[in-house]
Amino acid sequence: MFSNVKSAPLRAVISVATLMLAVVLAGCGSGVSDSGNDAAAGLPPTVNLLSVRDETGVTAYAGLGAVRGSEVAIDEINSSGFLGETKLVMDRKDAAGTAQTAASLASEGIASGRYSAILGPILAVESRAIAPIAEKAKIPVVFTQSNSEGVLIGEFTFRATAPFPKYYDVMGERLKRQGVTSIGVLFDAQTASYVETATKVLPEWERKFGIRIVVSKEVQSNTQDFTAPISSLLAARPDAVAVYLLGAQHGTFMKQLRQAGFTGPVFSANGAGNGNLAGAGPDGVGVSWPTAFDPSSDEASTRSFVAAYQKMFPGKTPNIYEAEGYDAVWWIARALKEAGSADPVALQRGLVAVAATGFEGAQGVLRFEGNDLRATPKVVQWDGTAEVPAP
Amino acid sequence: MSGVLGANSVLVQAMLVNLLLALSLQIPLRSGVFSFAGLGSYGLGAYTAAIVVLRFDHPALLALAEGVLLSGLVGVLLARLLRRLNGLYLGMASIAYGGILAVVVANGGALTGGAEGLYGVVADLGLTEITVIVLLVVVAVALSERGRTGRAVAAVREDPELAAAMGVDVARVRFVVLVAGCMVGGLAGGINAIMLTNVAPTDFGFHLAVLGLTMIIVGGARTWLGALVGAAIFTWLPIALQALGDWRTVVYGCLVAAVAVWAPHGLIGLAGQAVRAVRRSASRRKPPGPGAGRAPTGAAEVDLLAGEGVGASVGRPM
Amino acid sequence: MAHDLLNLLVLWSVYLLFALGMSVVWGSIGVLNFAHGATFMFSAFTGHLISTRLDLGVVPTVLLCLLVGAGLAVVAHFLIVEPVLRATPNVAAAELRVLIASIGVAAVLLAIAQTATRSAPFGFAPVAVPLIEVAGVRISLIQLLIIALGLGVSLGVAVLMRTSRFGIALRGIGLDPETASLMGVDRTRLAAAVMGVAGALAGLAGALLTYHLGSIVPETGDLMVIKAFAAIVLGGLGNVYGVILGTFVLAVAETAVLTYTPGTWVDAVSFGLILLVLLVRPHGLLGRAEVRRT
Repeated sequence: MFSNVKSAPLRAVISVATLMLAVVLAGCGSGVSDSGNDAAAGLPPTVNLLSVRDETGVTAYAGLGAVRGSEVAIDEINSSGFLGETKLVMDRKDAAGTAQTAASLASEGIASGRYSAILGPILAVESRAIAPIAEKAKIPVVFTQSNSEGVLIGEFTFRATAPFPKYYDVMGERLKRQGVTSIGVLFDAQTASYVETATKVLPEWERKFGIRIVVSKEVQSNTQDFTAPISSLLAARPDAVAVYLLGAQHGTFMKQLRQAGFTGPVFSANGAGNGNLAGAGPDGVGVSWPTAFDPSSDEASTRSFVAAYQKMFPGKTPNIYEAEGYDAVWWIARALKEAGSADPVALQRGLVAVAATGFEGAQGVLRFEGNDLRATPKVVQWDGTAEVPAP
Repeated sequence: MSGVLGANSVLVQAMLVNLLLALSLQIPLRSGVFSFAGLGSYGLGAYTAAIVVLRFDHPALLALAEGVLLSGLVGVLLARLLRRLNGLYLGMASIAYGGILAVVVANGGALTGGAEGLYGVVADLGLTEITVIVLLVVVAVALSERGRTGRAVAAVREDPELAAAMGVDVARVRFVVLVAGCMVGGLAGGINAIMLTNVAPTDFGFHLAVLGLTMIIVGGARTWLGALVGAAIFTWLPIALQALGDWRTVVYGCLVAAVAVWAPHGLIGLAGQAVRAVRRSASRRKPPGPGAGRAPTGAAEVDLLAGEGVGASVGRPM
Repeated sequence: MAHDLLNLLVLWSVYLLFALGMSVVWGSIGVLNFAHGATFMFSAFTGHLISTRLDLGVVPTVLLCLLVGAGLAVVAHFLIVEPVLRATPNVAAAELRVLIASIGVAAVLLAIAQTATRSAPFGFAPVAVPLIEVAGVRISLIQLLIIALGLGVSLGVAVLMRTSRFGIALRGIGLDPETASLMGVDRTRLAAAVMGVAGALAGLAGALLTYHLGSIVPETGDLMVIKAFAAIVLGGLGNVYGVILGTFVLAVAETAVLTYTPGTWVDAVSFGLILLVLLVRPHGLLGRAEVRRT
């Protein structure tokens, strides 16, 4: 396009004009608000939700999981007539792993006026960028994961994930029963929830369960070579090892740990789930962790979620990201019913009301502390092919 | 209308920040100084602005100014330390500055928020203010591309010895462009931090270097217009290519490689070549006038990356 | 302690194999190939695809990676390096153009691997690795192989550079390209050959590291380039012994940081070394005293 244009000033004018045209077109394309102040009329025929999650990139496995869980919930809600004649519609946008994209998608969505609520991202950096935007625009946003400070900053920010440092003590009880008195810890120091666990939760175990941390090593999110820190860990001779990493790093770590000769128990957190230990083969068997979601649990609400999920995605077992995405939508649906309106401000009040009483969802019995979820943890372990309840 | 602007304001702001980032690399590069210190300065400016807003509640413009000032001071230090380095060595040393800074802030404890960074950086900075600031910077850069300054800068790039012989203070030019690049980089980082209300060590890693280089290579490394074109393309292209999903990065990589090999002066360069070709064929029809041999545009008609110019007309071997 | 030493030697050997290729190419045809890291990674990735499908053993997998590495490097050479070198008389400008183009190539390879693996770690088909115990230290045969290859190949390259016609020709074009071509050295063929050898070394390093760690991620390649650059600059460009020394210092420094500190300062080691060396002694510990480029 540019090669046809002759003079520099003209080129400059054209670039600026093109940009402005793009902006105008993008803006004019947006629809008319569905969720205006029609509180008097009750719920409109459709309620629109904006999903801003990572559908591509490193964390896509979690983002897509949340989207799938949300889809299961929406299908259930629409086909069961939970909201009467009203249908829920979810618009999917891909944050692609960057805070800037997430923020811009949220701003765009808010400005269009179409949405009653936002289903927020998984990554804390993205969520922290969206939170002030949503708060200022008074549109409720329900995050999942995003385990860190700076996400729940006000009345309009909600989280449908139980932060695991809050329920982690159940692991300490279990280890005490097994006779463990010393642990070595290796954690990704670039993930806030791991730092919190390693530096605040675990040190308390000495007082609570008589379990002492004898060595603690930090690694980075991109570490693949754990041989040096493992050497240090084993030199301190702990009874058990705690490991907190991202994704399939867990598999790589377990291979190297077992090869270095450690035979004791290993425990972790949610991040070890979702098949991330599969790469370790037999070396990954036996790793256990507490989780808010166990697909094999016999709680009625969990079973019904798993069944609905498997109807939509045959042959697959849902994981925690999907359970959270499901619960996030159901929270919103219950809030819509409670508020009797799709207006964002009324919806916010509805979300708070539902949180006050709690409800039963994919993750079992759900209670809330403020706008934050608290779940009942169960300990699971990896048996080489799936997560099973730990004996 | 404000709705429309609101919808895309984040992208427009992102484009302005990317433009500053591109300029921070281009200003030194135009003088043949391979300094990527603008990237480290981006991080320094971002963190400075975030810290003063969080701790001292400084207003946005003051926070930005502090970021720019600190980046400039560090730039002066770097310029002094690295003055004997050239080419690739200077490039890598200046990248190392950014790399070390990233590790330092990631381990900076409560001051820098550690690996998670700082959030809740709320200060009033509107699109109008950002546009005015960027406009001022662009005007300054554009002015420096014309007249005596422009020719001096180009001379330092092409043939430092010749430039020195002609009375240009080569060392001073190199010093000034390096520091200027740092200050513009610091400004970009500061604006971005306030815009996004948060900052993290991962914000200014290697991917920023690739983005910055990509913008000026594809747009054109010779002039500010190239930086603008590059910034516009790479801010809006991700949105346009959303359908491609994960394959976007493959497209970027191919684009960068292709442009570096076949169109090293970017889109602006291609356009310039087209202009020259048209003018040459037009002037063939007229009898040659006294000024026909001179370069038609204001900036020195030398090719930054291919190193032609004087050499090409002499036809050096190899 | 002995375990730490073993890990150190393995780390050093991998860095050495990788950096050697980069150093030889840079010192001879003057090209800093940023895609060297992507070559390293992508060879391992290709090895992953094929070895897991065909359940290959160690030797075939390593050979495969070696060949893929060489192939990638030669293709990159004819696609990128040759056109730029031919079109650009000015060496400094050519350097920049090739560097940028190689960044583009690296980005493409990285993106393909990331998309295919979703940035998850990838490894080879599992092999039963025999472990031997020497004086209470468990050593795996893979570790021994890595150390042996690291030492063997680097010494081999050192000898090659000094004594063989190939090596002398390479050093010739490194020092004075015009005279070398006047003396009948075919720069194009030589350049392609040296890129191929470097690519093979990168592929080899990639395969060995993947066996050692069990798996690597797509991003591992780009990190290696920065480290290799630090090692080469420290040791001094154009000198094989310099690379050996530089990679040794790097491996020691990194292992020390990982063992005695929390471990999050590791990346700063390479960057710090780069800055320090360039500020204090730009031609490195064993490099030629004359400045290579003005």
